[in-house]
Amino acid sequence: MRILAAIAGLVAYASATALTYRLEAHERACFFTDVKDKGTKVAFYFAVQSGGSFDIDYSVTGPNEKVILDGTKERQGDFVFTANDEGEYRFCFNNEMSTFAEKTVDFEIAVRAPFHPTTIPETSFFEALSPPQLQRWIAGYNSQYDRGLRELESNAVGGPQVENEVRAQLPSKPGAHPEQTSVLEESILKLSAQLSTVSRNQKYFRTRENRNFSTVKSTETRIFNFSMMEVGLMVTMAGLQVFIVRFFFQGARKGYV
Amino acid sequence: MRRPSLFLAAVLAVPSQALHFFIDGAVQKCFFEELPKDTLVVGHYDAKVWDDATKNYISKPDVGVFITVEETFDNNHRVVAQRGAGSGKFTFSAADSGEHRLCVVPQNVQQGGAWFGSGVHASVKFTLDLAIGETSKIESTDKGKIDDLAQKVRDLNSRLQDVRREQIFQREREAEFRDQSEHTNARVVRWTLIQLAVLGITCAWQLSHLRAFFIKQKLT
Repeated sequence: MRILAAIAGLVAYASATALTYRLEAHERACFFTDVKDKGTKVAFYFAVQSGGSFDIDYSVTGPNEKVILDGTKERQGDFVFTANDEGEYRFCFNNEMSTFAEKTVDFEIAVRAPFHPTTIPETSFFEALSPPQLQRWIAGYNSQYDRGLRELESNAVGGPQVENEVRAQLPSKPGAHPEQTSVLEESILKLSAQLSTVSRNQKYFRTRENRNFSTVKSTETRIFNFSMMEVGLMVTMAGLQVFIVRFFFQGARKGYV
Repeated sequence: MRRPSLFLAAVLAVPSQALHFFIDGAVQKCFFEELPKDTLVVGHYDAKVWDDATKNYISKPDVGVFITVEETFDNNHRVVAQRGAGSGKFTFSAADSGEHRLCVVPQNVQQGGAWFGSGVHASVKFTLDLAIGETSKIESTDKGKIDDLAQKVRDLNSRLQDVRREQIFQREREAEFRDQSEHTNARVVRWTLIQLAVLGITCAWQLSHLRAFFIKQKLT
């Protein structure tokens, strides 16, 4: 089963995990992911949803304590980097700068394994397969590639960018017209990329809306506190003025003011 | 020969490259997710404990995981309370829009200590792969089946449904935000009037008190 063996070597799967974690004051939380192949692209997105001035310290460390990304007091970040070392990568958030504010961070880490064409010998392999076998093989690979590409396009800095890698354009069903189906596949891919942009935008708006809500709430409590302070101050000042004037006109100083 | 897709599905069933983090003993680790109504959430998890003999994280049969999902907006009403084995899958659907708190606690694990050497983080290594939204329906059953144009379009459709649900959720949130703004505005007006009233009363009291005082002192 050469085909199965080749496919086993070609599994280009992607995984993305999106979580929201609440960091207490002075807390440091780390999340890890294992990278098994060299040249894997890792996408890291985070946005502070609530707490304090909506900023946090973060750091991304690779195996052997190699620092890949580092930042202090950032509100949100969207990075894609190529992991050149195999091993465990550490994504840390640090809330040690806050004395009492707890921060909620929404983050997403997506890992996409690279396409290794090393298991395929040269054109002889393709010639050995019959066309329907070849179509199904490439279609199966294509679907996984598309998933990973989608995740990555939505995470890439600067918006969706189509990767410049080998793409097969064979039809997924035998008998279908090759050019028509490939145009269809192209448009589906474009739709998929646009949809990723839309959902990324929605995430952004959700973060902003959280901030606005928190500002308005804080305005409300501030108004109450300041009003109470002012009322207290006014009453105190009035009382003080009255008693000082009384003091001036009392006792032995009567009539001398 | 449909084998390739099945083979791919088998390989992808285990969250091998998902996120993992470390828990020190039977401590609870929580995640907060704002979910629109009717969102399906599927999670694959795997808890491994540190074994001194093999110097690696291994799966022990008596290790369990207790998963709870609470609605923080509804007085922490518990939606899911599931006790499972060290590795497994959990599913739940959000009945109402709002913030849900997802907590995991490993069971039957010992406390970590200061005797952990370098390269070892804590006693329990927890791998979590969370899929949120309608696309999770596909991911939970068969990851390898997206090799058909029709299936791709169906996947696009369910992602659009996710977008639609999020939009409805944002509308509700915006209505709440508007209410809060109006409330704050009304509060400003109210407290300003109260302050003016207090000012007027204080002024009147001052004048009347001083007048009475001066009359008593026979100066007026």
